[in-house]
Amino acid sequence: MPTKKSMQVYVVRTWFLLNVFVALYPPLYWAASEHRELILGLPATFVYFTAVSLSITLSILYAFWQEAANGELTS
Amino acid sequence: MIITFGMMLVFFAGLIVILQRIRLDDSSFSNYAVGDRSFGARYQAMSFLNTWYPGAMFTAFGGMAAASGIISFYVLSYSLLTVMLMYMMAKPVWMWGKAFDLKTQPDLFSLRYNSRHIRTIAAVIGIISGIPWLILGMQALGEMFRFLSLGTLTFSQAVILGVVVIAIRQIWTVRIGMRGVVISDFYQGMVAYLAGTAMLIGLIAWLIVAKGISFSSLDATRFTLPGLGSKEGPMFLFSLVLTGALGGWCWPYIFVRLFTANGVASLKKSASLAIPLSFIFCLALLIFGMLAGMLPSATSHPDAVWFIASQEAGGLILLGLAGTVLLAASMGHIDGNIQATGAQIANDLLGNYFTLSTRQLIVISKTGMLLLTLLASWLSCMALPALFSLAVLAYQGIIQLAIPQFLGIFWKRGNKYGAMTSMSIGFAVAVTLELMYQGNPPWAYGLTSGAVALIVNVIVYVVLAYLIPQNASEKARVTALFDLVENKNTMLQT
Repeated sequence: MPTKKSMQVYVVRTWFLLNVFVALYPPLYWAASEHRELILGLPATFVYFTAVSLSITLSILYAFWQEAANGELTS
Repeated sequence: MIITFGMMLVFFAGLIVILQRIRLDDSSFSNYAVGDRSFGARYQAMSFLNTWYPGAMFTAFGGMAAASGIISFYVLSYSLLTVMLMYMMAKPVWMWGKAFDLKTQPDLFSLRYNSRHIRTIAAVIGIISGIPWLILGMQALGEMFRFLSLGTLTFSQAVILGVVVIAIRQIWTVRIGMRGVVISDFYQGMVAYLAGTAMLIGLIAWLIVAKGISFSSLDATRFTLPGLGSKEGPMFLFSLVLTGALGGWCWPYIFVRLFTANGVASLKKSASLAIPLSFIFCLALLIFGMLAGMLPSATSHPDAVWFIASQEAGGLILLGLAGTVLLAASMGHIDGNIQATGAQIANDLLGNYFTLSTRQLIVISKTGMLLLTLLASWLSCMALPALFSLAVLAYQGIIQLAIPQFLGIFWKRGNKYGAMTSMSIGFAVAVTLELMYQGNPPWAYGLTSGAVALIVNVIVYVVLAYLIPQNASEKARVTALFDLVENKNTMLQT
């Protein structure tokens, strides 16, 4: 049975991979570009870039937080 | 002119005071080249940002957002992905650096592939590719001085003034080495990205409230991205983000940031400090650029949108601040470039073939920096029509280091034959395609020349990794390197 620590490592790796996928997978940004309706009052391509960037930012903050909490960062 | 130049003079005087207070220590080349691996997370974070985001962000990318719209946001994606790469690389690169006293990016290539000549190849590619960008940085300062002189200086006079200012600044880069670069990056970074972000947010508010400009004021075409059937090709954005994220770590002056930290924890913490700041700064800059592009005075000069909007919103005081912010950002990039090049000339070119004492390494490094500053200053004052094309060409070429670099860090199987062949072929393919098609081969669905070459590069690397297996001793050596990272995850941290 996976430990809590190994689960957290998998979460970080999966999140990082997901970031790479959504930042690079062309059909996603093609779809955003063709989506004419506003999302929360904002253009879809703007929402796409902001969401991708926010996800990358949060993933690193989470990775650092969980490594620090597990005592893996000693200096 | 007195107000705008006076504000920059105050900033510059503050910088000189800080640099003068730094203690000189030439006791080891490690101290001179990587600051004795002594910097904590806050210095690391600001040093990374100050090297990553040059002053051209405000002109080139601000202008791109103003003129072309949402496509400019690719810089946001790749700038954040590159911090993610830093987080992933931090442990192996820093631990190898500490254990084997690595001081430059080619040092890491040499260690991983057990080859002396790969150090020379990587250094030559890095140095040659960096020169056009150094000249562009100096010329951008000239453009800034021309704008801030309010028409008093001609373009030639402004470029010469920019070159003189940055050349004077290099006195301390040469004298102090990396310690001076990182400490001054902190001061410059505070001005460029904290004051700069505050200014950007204020200007966005001014554009919305005072000028009535919002996203709804912009034409819908400003929010479209190249897709199927587009002129640029459906893979164009993919290509820009991929090569941007991978390519960032191929620059020697960016990569060396991994060696200046005082531990893996500091590096990872620096990533967590840098990324929110990077996100907010870059997002604010691009939103500002898109909105400010609607100002009637900016439509014909999108590259000057930072100065135009600042002057319209806050007169000469804000224009002076805009210049100070751009100067602070430019200095960090130029200093880092010159420092890393000097270290490579001593460590990876001459030091690779001759046994040199610490004193000789430092003297050669200082001489290299001085000569590079003089060469770049001289070239900056000349009209070089093909300079930007050369800089783009250099970028497509240097990203070919990415395959042996990243696969070498994360995959045990690669060997020196694959590494040298793949990056050399990748470099040749990128340069050939760039020269033939000016960046975008028409048959590549929007992939840039560098991205096409990366495909060739990775195929060659992987095929040779399987065709020429490592012998037993090399396999044991590489395994020991990776074990060092896996098994002693904290022992080497100080």
